[in-house]
Amino acid sequence: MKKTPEDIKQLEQKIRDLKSKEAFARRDKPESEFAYASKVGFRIGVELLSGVLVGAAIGYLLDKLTGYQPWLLILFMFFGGGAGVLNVYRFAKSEEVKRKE
Amino acid sequence: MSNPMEQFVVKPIVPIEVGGIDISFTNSALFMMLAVAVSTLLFALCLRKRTLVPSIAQSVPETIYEFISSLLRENVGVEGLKYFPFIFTVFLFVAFGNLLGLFPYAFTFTSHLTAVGSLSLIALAFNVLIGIRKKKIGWLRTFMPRGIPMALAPLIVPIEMISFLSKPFSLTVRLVANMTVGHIMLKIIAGFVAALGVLGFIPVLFNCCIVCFEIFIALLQAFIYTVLSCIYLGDALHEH
Repeated sequence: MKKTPEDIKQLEQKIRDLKSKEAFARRDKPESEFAYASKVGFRIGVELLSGVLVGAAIGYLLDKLTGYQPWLLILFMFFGGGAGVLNVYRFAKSEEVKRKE
Repeated sequence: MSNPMEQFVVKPIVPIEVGGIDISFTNSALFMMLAVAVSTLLFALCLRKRTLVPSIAQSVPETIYEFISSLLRENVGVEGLKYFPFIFTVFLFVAFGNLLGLFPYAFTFTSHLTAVGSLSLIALAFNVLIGIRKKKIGWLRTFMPRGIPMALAPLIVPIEMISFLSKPFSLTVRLVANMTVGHIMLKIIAGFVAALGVLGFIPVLFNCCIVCFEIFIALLQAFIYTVLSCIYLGDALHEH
């Protein structure tokens, strides 16, 4: 079969149509409110907890090394709580920036 | 009914002991090696015949490759492409660990804090080394941001240090918790099958749905773990 300019034009039109179809299928679908909320909620919970746990672990190790039991454990648990809140604050800020975009 | 936690027990297959330290070859180690072997085989077989226009088999690794490299470019930037091998390996290892764990009688090493924690520690080491190489002594500023009065240093420095160290920990916990919960749920619902007798087909149908969902979760969690390692890497490369 011989190709004519008409054929090529039709082919180009076909390619354009398929491309726009693909772009439509690939567009970012908005996440459902529930999925977003549960994702963020879980993240914040873990973030708060991990701060305290890591702080407690550091305090416990320092206690073992220095022999001030149990004072450093108590002190570092509070520091850990602070770190957890700090992490959540930073995460919430970055989420806010992302949502505004 | 068997214990739903039994599936997470690490059992030695080949007991080895060197100098009082137990370094047995366990089912966990076996599945880590399987994850590496399966991902290597997949890539080797699919890329056997390389053509400019990819066949279906060839397009599988190429899609994964494109996906991870665009992930890196978005989250870290072009300079992050240097660390592509590391991120790519982490993604494949975690994704295949999750997926292989879904087979009956398989062991899910990604449900263990020690296994995923070691991966996160590697990411932490990367973050520290890159940070020091990039900013030299100024890296210590991570623990003492600019504009904070010296009097607050005793309070801020420990808090920032714990915040820095808790990042890999929370990264680990999120992956581990998701994998553990899914597997316990599957096991408990499977336990209902025998208990319900004739009506046992209801939990079976339910479990079929959960397995499909778990496949999705396995890939999603591997993706999330990879994205967060990317962001973690990006933090070391960029100033705040």
